[in-house]
Amino acid sequence: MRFIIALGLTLMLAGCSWLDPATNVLEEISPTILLYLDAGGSGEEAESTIVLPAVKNEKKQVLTARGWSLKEHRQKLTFGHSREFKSGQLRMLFFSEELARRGIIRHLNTMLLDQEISNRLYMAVVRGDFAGFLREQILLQKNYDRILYKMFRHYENMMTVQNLHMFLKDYYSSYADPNLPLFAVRGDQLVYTGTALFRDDRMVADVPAEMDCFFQMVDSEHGSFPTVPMPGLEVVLGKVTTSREISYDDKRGVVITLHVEGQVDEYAGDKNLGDRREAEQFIRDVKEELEERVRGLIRSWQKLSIDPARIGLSTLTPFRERFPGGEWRRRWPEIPVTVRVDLGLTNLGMIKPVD
Amino acid sequence: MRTEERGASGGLWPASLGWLLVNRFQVALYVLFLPDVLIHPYMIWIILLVGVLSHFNLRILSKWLQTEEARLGYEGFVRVLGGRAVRLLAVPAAVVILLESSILTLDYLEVSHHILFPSVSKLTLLPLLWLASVYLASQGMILTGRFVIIAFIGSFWIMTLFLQFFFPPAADYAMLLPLVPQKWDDNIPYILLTLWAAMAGPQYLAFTGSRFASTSGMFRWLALGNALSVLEYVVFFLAVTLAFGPEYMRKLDYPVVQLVRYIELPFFERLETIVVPFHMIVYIFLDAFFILFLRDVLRIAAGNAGKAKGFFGLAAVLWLVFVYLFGKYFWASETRHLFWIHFNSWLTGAAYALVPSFLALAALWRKRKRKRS
Repeated sequence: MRFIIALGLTLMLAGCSWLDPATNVLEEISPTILLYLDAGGSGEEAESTIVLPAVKNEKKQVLTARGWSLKEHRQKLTFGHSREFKSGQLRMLFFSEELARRGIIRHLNTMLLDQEISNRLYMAVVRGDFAGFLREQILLQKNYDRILYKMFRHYENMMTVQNLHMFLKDYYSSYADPNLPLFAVRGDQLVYTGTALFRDDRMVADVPAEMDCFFQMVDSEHGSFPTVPMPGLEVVLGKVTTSREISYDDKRGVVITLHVEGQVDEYAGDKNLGDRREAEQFIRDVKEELEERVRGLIRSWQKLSIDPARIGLSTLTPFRERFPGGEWRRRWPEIPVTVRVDLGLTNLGMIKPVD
Repeated sequence: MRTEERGASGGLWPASLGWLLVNRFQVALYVLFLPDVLIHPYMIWIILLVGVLSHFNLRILSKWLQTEEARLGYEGFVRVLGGRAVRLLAVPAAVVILLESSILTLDYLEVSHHILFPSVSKLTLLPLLWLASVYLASQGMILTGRFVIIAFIGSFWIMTLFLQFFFPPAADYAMLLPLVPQKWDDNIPYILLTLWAAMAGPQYLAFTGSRFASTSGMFRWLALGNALSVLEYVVFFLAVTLAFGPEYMRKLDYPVVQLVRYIELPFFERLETIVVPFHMIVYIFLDAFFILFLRDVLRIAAGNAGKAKGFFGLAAVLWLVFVYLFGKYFWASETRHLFWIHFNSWLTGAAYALVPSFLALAALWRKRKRKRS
């Protein structure tokens, strides 16, 4: 018995590395945290670009491989490099817009099957030459891949942030369509330019950056936005918090009610907000503008027959499923939608409204 | 073994140990596997329904446990069924024990292989698990039974990790609708069978009557364990449904394990490297139990039951060899794996349905016969 205990202790203290043919000695492997996928040339081919992590005094490098599958890319990269590539630390997955429009589920399936890769993998679509951009940036800022990761973590509430889990949940649901954040390379900057909308696994449209907060208001049950610019009315709303209610009945169709609260941060228009009547008129204008924007978004989704904000879920009741078996997708374009905004504005300029 | 018969190791099991035994026996395999079978949210009702059925079955089991024969152990079985029948039944019992423990153990090894050590053969972990189980079993039945407390403490906390999925914004409760189906799934018989098998396990307690210090008031404890299992199944199923949605869940093997992989604590991620090994403690307990049962059954089959000695080494080695060969030749692909789980559902489901009522009826019959004569 003592022998067994001694053997067990030895095993525990020495680890079980001798059992495992895969070595994970940190200096001998390259755990990359960023992967960029581009459509490579024609047909099924794709192109992987990764940021090679540095050991000690090495420089970070950006490497690219081409082939029909992701694992083949990884193998090619490993064979062409002194250290083995591991995907256990992969945190960010970028797709080029071209690939996203062509369909990405095959690659996502690879990610899902690989148990080393966490389902919290952040995903995004990039417009422009991201590989070239990475090559330049990594020379300028050594930790650029890490900086990007921190950005995703920070903005989890303000802009669209999606990970593998959330994307696939929407992808498989018959009442939702997935979406991803959309970035664009402009010169030496990576700019957030809204949300890419998908039908199945193909990107079919995007919400431009100036409309993105309205998308978020419909998409999330509770939202908070530091700034909501509305150039049409020459006003910027600040500290906006929203909550959303969606109801459905057979007669009226979908009714979306947005409760919006905020304050006026900047106003450049010619209304005297100190005057009560003009202030009320102004609030009505803002409300109508908000409703019009949201209505416009939803109309464009209905045209494409996509439901990125999971509006279809509100048609379910405890005793009834009105659109079973993918029926929602077919019926959604014709369903009437009413948008109501419930607006509460404070801080109307410097002067309080007087009676 | 040495201390067991003398009762020096802390005496017999209190009746209150029953709820832990019932609970850990029930949840071991199916807590990981069950959401694979239950797809639609309305199947919560079926979990509750089967839980109630199991409740009544436990009532029969406790009736049996309170009879004089059950309290006598081997002697009691001889009195009820006759010496030759007991000896004859010992052979299929050994096969059932070996099959069930192989399927249970290999299923766990499969999960840990898939999640933690994909580049190592899944049977690598088997000798380690076996060593732990044999060590535990060598302490005797009484202590092995008491180990269930540690197995419970070591694995029950896992459920609390899933509570975060019940709160918005992660949880969208509309996912659970409709709660009443318009059309029942075609697979209902299979789902019922699997759920019944998920409630199975306590039938092994039918053979441990002599280990309990007292079996009066036993039913309350058994029912408590059963209710706890139902609660666990419901919590896991709801968490998984809320997190994945019914459609996505169907595409995943072991959605419960996949959900553990998704958990991220502010200071720690990759929780599966902790949770999956912790779940092994349940299997150490179960396998130790199975080895001891196998030992007893072998003794009976050899006609050696009266002596209460020997056969432990044989049982331990037989168990290891059987599980190893089973894993090597009958567990190669995922389709086989599903077949064996299905097979296990039939096996344990049938055992759970038949064993308690069979024994209770046999005891009743004997009592009547004695009264008449």
